[in-house]
Amino acid sequence: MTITTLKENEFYIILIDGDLDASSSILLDTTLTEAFSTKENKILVDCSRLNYISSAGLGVFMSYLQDFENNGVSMILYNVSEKVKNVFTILGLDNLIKILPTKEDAIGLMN
Amino acid sequence: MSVKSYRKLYLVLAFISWSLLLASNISFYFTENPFINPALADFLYNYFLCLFILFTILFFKIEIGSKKITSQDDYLWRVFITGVTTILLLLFIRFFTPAKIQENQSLYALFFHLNLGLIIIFITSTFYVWKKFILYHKTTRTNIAWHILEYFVLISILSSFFIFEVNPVNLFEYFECLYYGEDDCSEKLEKIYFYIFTSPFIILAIYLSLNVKWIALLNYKKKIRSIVLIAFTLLICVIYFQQIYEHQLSNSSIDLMENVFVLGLLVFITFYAFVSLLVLMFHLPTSSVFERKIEEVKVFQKLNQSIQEGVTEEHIYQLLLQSGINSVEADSGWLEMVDEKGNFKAFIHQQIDKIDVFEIKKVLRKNHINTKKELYSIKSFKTLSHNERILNLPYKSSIMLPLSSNNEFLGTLVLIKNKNNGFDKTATDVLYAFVSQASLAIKNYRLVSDALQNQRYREEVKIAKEVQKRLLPTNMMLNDHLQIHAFSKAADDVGGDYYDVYPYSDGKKVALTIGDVSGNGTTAAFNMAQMKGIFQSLIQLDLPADEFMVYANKAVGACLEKNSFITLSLFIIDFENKKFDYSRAGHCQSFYYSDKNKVFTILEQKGLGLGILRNDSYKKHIEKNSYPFETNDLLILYTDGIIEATNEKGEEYGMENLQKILIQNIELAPKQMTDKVLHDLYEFTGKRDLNDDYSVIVLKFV
Repeated sequence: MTITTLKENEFYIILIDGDLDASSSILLDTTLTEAFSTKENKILVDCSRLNYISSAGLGVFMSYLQDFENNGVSMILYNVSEKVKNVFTILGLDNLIKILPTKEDAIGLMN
Repeated sequence: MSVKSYRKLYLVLAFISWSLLLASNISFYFTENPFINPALADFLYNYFLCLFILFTILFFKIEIGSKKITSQDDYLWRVFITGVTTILLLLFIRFFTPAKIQENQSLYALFFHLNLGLIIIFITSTFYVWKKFILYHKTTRTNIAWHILEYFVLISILSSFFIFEVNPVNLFEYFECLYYGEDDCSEKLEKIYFYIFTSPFIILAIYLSLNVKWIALLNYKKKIRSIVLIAFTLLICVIYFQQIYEHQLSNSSIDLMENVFVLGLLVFITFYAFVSLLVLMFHLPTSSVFERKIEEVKVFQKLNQSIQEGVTEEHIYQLLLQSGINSVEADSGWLEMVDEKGNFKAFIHQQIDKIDVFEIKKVLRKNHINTKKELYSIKSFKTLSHNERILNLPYKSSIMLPLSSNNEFLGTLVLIKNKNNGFDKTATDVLYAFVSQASLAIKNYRLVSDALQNQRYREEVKIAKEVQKRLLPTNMMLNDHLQIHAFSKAADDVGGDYYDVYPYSDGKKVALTIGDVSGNGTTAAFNMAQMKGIFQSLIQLDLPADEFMVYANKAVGACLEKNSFITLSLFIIDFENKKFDYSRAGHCQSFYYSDKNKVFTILEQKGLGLGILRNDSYKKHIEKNSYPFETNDLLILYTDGIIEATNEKGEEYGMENLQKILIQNIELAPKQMTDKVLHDLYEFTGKRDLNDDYSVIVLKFV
C-alpha cells in the first residue's frame, strides 16, 4: 500500500492506494499525525484506490475523531467503494465520519 | 563377577601360588623328603612358578588395562617407583644379607623367592604400562600385532619347564664363526636354534616398539620428566640384566638366565624404553612449536565449547581477548563489540587504561583508519600523524582485527605491543584464523541464544492459546429450550473473536453475545480477555441490551488503546415472554430465521462499535429491538472473518454466500449447520488457514 499526500489550496489530500491492513495502517497513522501536527484543518481522503480496510485501518481513522473534533479539523472521505463503505456502515462509523461520493461534494461541504 | 572382583581374585591367587612355590622349594629341597620323586618335585615347583606368573600377568592386565590413560608421565612415575623399590630390595638382599642368614636355607629361600616375585612384578607391570603407550592412538594393525605378542608371552610362561640356551654370547659366537669362514659352525648353530624359532616374534616386538605416538603430545616439561624417568628405568633394567647374567637369580631348580619369559619380557621392555628415550630426545627441540599449536587448537576448542556450556556472552569476550593476547604475546589490548543493530554492546580492556584507548582511537579517527572492514596493522605509532600524546605512552605497534560473520560486523579486536613491528606475518596469520573462529563462535552463540529465546516465546504462546481457549465457554447446554453450537478459530495462535453465554433469572433468561476485537494476535487476545471481564460484570446487573452497551462502551473506552475498538452483538433471550432483545454495537448483522413463516431476516439496526466514541454521546448511537420467537426458530451469529474471507482471486466470501448455504441447510441441527457453513467456506477459499479470526454460532429454540 502507498500513501500520497498533496496540498490543493487549503485542502490536504491523502490518496490511499491498496489494502489498509494491520501493517499498512501504521503508515496512515503517521500521515494523519503529520497532518494534525502541521495544523491542516481540511483533510480530504481519496479512497478511490482503497480496496480493503481492516479493523486496524478503521481504528486509525477512529482514533483521530476526538482530536479532530476538539481542534476544529474536518475530515471527509470520498470515492469510497461500496464494499469499504459497507464496513464503515456496519461499524456505525458512517455517522461519525463524513463519507461523500465525489471530491467536489467534499470540497463543497467543506466550504 | 565384576572386573574389580577379578582383580582381587587374581591378586590372591598370585600370592597363593607364590606361597606354594616357596613352600615346595623349602620342603622338597631343604628337608630330605624320601616320599617325593625329585622329578615330580621339579615339575610341581615349575608348575607353581607358571601359575604365579600367569596370575601376576592377569592381575596387571586388569589393574593397568582398566584405567583410562590421562597423563603418561604418571604411568612412567609408577614404573620408576616399582623398578626402584624392587631393585633396591634385590640389591639390599644381595649385599647386606648377613652370613648367618645364608646359612639358614629356609630364610635364604624366602629372600630368593621374594626377589623372584619382585622381578616378575616389575617386568609384567612395566609390560602393561608399555601396552598403554604402544596402543595410544592405535591402528587395527598394531592392535592385532599386540595381541599376537601377548599370546606369545603367555605361551612363553611354559618355558619354565624347559632349559633353553638363551645366552646372547652364543649368538655372537655363531656370527663370529660365520664371519671368519670357519668350516664347521653347526655345533654353534645348535645353540642358537632358540633365536631362529623366535625371530618372527622378535620382529613383531621391534615393530611394536616403534609405536611412540604418546610422546608427540607431551609438552616440554613432561618430556623432560619422561626422559629422566625412562633413563632411570633403563638403568634398573640393566641392573636386572646384570644380576640375571651373573646367575644371581638362580637356585638349584631355576635359573632366570634360562627362563624365556623373564628374559624375553625384560629385553622387550628395555628395548621399548630405549626407543622411547631416543625419540623423546629427538622431539625435545621441536616441542615448543608443537605446544604452541596445541595451545591454539585448545583456544579454538574452548571458544566453541563455551557456546554449548551456557556461559554468558561477556565470558566469551573475556576469553577472546585473553586468548588473542596470549596467542601472539601482545602486551595489551581491547575488544569492542556491537549488537545486531550495530549499537554498542561491550567493551573490555586489558593492561591498558580507558583513557589510553580513547587516545589511540582519537589518533585512528584523525588518520581515517576504519577498523570495521579489514585487518589493519600499525607497525609504529610514530608513522601516524596527530600523535603527540601517544608518543609519551609505551605503546609502539598495534594490530586491529574486525570480527564479522556473513558480512555482519560484530566488533573489533585490538592488540598492542610495546615494541615496533610487533606483529609479523605469522602473528597476523594466527590472529586472522583466530578471529575468524572467534567470530563464528560469537555468531553461533547468538544464534543459539536466539533459538532458545524463540523456543521460550513459542512455549509462552502455547500457554496463551490454552488460556484463551478457557475464556470461551465450553458448555453450551444451557437449558431445555436451547440448542447452541459455537465454532471459533484464530488466525494466529491467539485471536480476538469472542462469544459468551450467561443464563440468569433462574434460567428464564439467557444472554448470548458475540464480539470481535479490532486487530488480531496477542493485542487482540488481551483486549478480548478484557471484554470477557466487562461482559461477565455488566450482565449481572440485568440491564436492558442498549444500556448494557452504553456501560460497555465506557468500560472499553477506559481499557483499550485509542485506536482499538470492539464490535459486539448482544441477545437477551426471555423464555417466559418468548422474545429476545437485540443490540448491535458495530458487529456484523446476525440472522434470524422464522420456522413458521419460513422467512430469513438480516437483523439490521444501527449501532456504533464499542470504544470508538469515548464520551457521553454514545447512547445516541445505539438502539435495542425486540423480536418474538417460536419453537424451531434460529439465530445465526458470526464474525467478519467469515464474510471477509477471500479466495485466490481476492474475492470475498460475503454475506450472500453465507445466507445461501444457511438457507440450503436450514433444517439441520446447529452442529451440522455449522459444519456445512465451514465446509462451504473452505471450499470457497481453498484453504483452512484464513487471515482473520472467524467464528459461527447457531442457536435453535426448541
